[in-house]
Amino acid sequence: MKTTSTCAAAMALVVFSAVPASAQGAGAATPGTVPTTLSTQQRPAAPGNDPGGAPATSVGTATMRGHIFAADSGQPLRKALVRIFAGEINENRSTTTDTDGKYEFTAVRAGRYTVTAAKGSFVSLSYGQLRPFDAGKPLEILDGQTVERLDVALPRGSVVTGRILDEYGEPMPEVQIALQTYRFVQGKRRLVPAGRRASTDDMGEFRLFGMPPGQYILSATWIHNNIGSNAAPADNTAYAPVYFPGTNTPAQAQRLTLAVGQQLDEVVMAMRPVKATRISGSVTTSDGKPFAGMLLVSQNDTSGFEMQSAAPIRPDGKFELAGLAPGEYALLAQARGGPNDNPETATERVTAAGEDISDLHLVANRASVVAGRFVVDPAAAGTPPTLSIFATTMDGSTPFGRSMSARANDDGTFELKLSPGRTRLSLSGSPAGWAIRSIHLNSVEVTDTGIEVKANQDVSGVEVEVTNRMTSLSGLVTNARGEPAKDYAVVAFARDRTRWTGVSRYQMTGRPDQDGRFKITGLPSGDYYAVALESIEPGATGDPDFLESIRTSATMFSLNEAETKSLDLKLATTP
Amino acid sequence: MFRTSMFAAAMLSVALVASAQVAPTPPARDGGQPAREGPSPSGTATIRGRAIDAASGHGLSRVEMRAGPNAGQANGRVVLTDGDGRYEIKGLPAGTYTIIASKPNYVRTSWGEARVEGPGKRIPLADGQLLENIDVKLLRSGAVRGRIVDEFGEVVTDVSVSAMQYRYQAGSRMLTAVGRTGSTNDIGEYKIYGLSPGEYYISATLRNGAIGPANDSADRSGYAATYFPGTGNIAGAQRLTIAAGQTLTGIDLSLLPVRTARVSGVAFDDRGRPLVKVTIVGMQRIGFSMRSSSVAVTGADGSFVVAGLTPGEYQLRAINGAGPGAPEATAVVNIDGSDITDLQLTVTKPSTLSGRVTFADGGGAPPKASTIHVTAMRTEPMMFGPPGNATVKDDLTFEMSVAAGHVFVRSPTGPNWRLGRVLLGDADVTDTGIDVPVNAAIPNIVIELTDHIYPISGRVTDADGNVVRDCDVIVFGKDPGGWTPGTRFVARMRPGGDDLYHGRMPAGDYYAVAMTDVPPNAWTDSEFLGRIRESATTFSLIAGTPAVINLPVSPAPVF
Repeated sequence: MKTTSTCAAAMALVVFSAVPASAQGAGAATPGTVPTTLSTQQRPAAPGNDPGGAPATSVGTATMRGHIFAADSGQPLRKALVRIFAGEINENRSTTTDTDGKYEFTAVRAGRYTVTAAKGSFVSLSYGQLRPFDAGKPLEILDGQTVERLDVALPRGSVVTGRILDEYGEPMPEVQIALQTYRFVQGKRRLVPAGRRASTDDMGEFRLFGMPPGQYILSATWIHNNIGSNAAPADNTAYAPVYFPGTNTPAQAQRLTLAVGQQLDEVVMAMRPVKATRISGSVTTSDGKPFAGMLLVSQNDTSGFEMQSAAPIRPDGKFELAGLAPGEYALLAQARGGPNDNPETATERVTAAGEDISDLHLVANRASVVAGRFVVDPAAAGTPPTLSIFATTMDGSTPFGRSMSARANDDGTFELKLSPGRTRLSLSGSPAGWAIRSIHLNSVEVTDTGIEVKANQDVSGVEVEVTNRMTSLSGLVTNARGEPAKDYAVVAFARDRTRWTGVSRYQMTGRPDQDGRFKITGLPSGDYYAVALESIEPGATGDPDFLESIRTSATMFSLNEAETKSLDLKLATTP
Repeated sequence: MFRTSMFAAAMLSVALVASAQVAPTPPARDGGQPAREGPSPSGTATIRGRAIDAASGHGLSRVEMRAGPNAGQANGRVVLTDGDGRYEIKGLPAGTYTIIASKPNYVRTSWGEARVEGPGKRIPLADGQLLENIDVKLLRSGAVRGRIVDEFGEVVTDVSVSAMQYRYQAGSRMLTAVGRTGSTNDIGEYKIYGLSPGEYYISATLRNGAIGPANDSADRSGYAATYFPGTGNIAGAQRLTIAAGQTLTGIDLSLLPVRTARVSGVAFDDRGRPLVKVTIVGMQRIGFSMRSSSVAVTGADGSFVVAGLTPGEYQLRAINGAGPGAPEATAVVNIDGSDITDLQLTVTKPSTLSGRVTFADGGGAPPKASTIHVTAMRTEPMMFGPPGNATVKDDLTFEMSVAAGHVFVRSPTGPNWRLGRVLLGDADVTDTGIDVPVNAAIPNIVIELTDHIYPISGRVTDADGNVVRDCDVIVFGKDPGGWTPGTRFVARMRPGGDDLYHGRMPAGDYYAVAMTDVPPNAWTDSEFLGRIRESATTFSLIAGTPAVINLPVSPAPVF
């Protein structure tokens, strides 16, 4: 392995230069000092308090414009894709830059926007973003306002090239290459692929480009392992993912450090077959008869590639799977003709570790019908748009092979067909300005506990109350010297530790806008902590240990329903 | 979920292709489990051999060797070759097998194939038999590489580059993307590998529209699908010949700038309500391939703008709900550079065709209702929409959901029964087809099955009088009016273990041709049938009289 970049400094925390020196010389704004031209000082009504519910068709009156540059050369980038997004009003627009790298959005509706730019092999970046995978700074856009110099300088992506060989030393095509990092996913640190991926060609060569700087684990994954009773190789081997420099265990992998725009060449690894797991067992219907159909096998391995195979289930309900490389698998038994043939399905999760698994027994069940209706908070103003309900498991995942959303009927009722298990309900498609106030089942509040769906049993009477009366928390942050802080992240989280779960409505983060003000909308009423930190790793708020570590520097506050609260904070030192 | 629906789609396309091939003897179904269900029962026969690099003669390691009764079947028996290229497939039940070898970087090869990627020879295998030296020589596949720039000579990243060939699909010869697709990297380079020897066109496309919200930019510049060496028109494209193992380099091109158009309109559900925050996908049709081109999301009033559309034919589709079979709205638009406004995209329930099946029998027992399938075939590729097939109910009635368009009603039934005619009221619509309007219900279709079909068989010989077994026999009606999709007047057969080809067809006047190297599905194309008429033998199949037609083998015409 050799490094072709002159910039070899190892960077644990890589900081982008947000605007090139040359661009600054040309009069571009420095981050955090956005010159704004206000043609009207009128503050927009908060969307949640809009009496009629904001008519989404209304055309805005603001303008946002800027330039997109290459961070290294300062050259304008043409045909760069620029997006603006305002979650609260569900506004999402895009445009492309002209030959001078200039972009403009006109008729922009008032709201709190993020601006993101992307161009080919450059690293995508949000306005005000300082670190890879971090959040940018929002921009509070008012009616009639023209906000200029929303400039983003894109760093050139880093490149890794190399070659993958098989156990005979021959080039191996079609191997999936990813750079992975540890990130918080639903409150737990997991190895996830970052940015682009690559696939080896006929010479076993790959070129992975456009990567943000950082520390990575390089993985090589073979997605063509033959899984199934007939299709597996006779010696029952499979290729397991390989991590640089050549281990099957991510923990033993060596990290690669990529500086901005760095190219790392000649990463060479070999894939070797390992003993695969054979699974045999049977599937029965809910009334104990052999289940006819097929078994779908899905793998979501640590390298983030989803692989799927199918194997037949014999008329006597027995099945045999071979060729499973070590990893986690989800099995789904279903009828060949789908639900029309037989509405029952069976699911199972298995871990393959080389040892064979025999006598695995799956029992099929029909989808449980969860029926309910939407009701509107009596104190809410206006009527919500057509709502859809969305079901996930408590950890936020969707079970393999199930459709999980349903649109409300005209009378507000809905019907979901779900797999057994504890189920969390949420609104699908984030309707602008509306959120769930509470969910009740038989007069018991289940908003955060979820609904227990039992096999072959239906659930009815779910009542989902929606509201457009949202809480709002905003404020300014000062640093140790008492000066206004321009760059920080605020974390608001419940004082009640039982709310500190991977997926929770009770923790939110905010970043400062061009006035240095943070704003957090939609927390349920309750008692909270708030902490202002210099930065926060994305997803860290789902980790109870992290919340505990910042709790001592926190300010306590409480929110009543629909309350708009102002809260100024002092910048805490990052733990 | 997504993968599951993809799986269903794959199953569906297999079914469609199968019915389009006019199999002379459609697989018999007894209403129970299909024969391929379940792991193969183990047997006592063994096949052994080696996989060899055709150029060097060296054994090839880790080649996937598949033994199956049917070349295309997915669940044959599979083993991998060892370091010296040797393989052994044990425990095979007696039967007829083909052996297929595949390895990345090599052309998928059937044992005994007469042409590259052609059908292999079938191997009869008895119980307890040990068959050795079933050696397969594999040709290395080829590759194309090059660099893509824009009109300023700057490299372009993420350009999708395809190798295309003319192939027979759904009854016509169309330009089709084959094999892998390349994508340009940060220095504008692409590589397409794994190409079988043959002739190709190279096409480069850059998605003009963004995935996500409609693009606000006033800039209408985009890039046409550009064929090497730099034309938007296939007629001006250069055909590249790739030999086994050859890598063509320097296949560079400059993307052709064009003005793009927008399609704007409103999407409604089936009750006239606007479809809010629904994704609209624009797919461009290039030959038989559909390419995802632009994506838009509807606003709160159901309005949408699909931007970045280069000239061509597009299918717009909005899906209301999740999963296969969710109601959807589709429209076909032709873009010539001008914008299209006020397009109404309305979710429609699929149209239905219904009726009953009758038998014009000559005394044989009619098939069980549960074994009779009906299907609606088309001449245009259908990427979306209901599958358009159904199984007949016990009372011999049927109802199937179909997308609007011109369809031919067919029934691929067992070996002794064949479609006689299709009646709509008094009209015989067997070969004219039916125009299905949007949101329509067409009842009272009568599908008449008949067992008035008579055996045809014969022997195929070469110029020296030797029997030829590895060839296709195409028998087709003399009247070109009967060369419709899924027609009963066109059949393709192959000689079997008794050296004879066998089929059953309705009485009438026919052509018969025996050919090697017939491109896949070519016999479904009326133009192809028109060409091979010259080398055909004519004969009449008379009711009640088996025909024996011996044929000389001739090469397939080259286009």
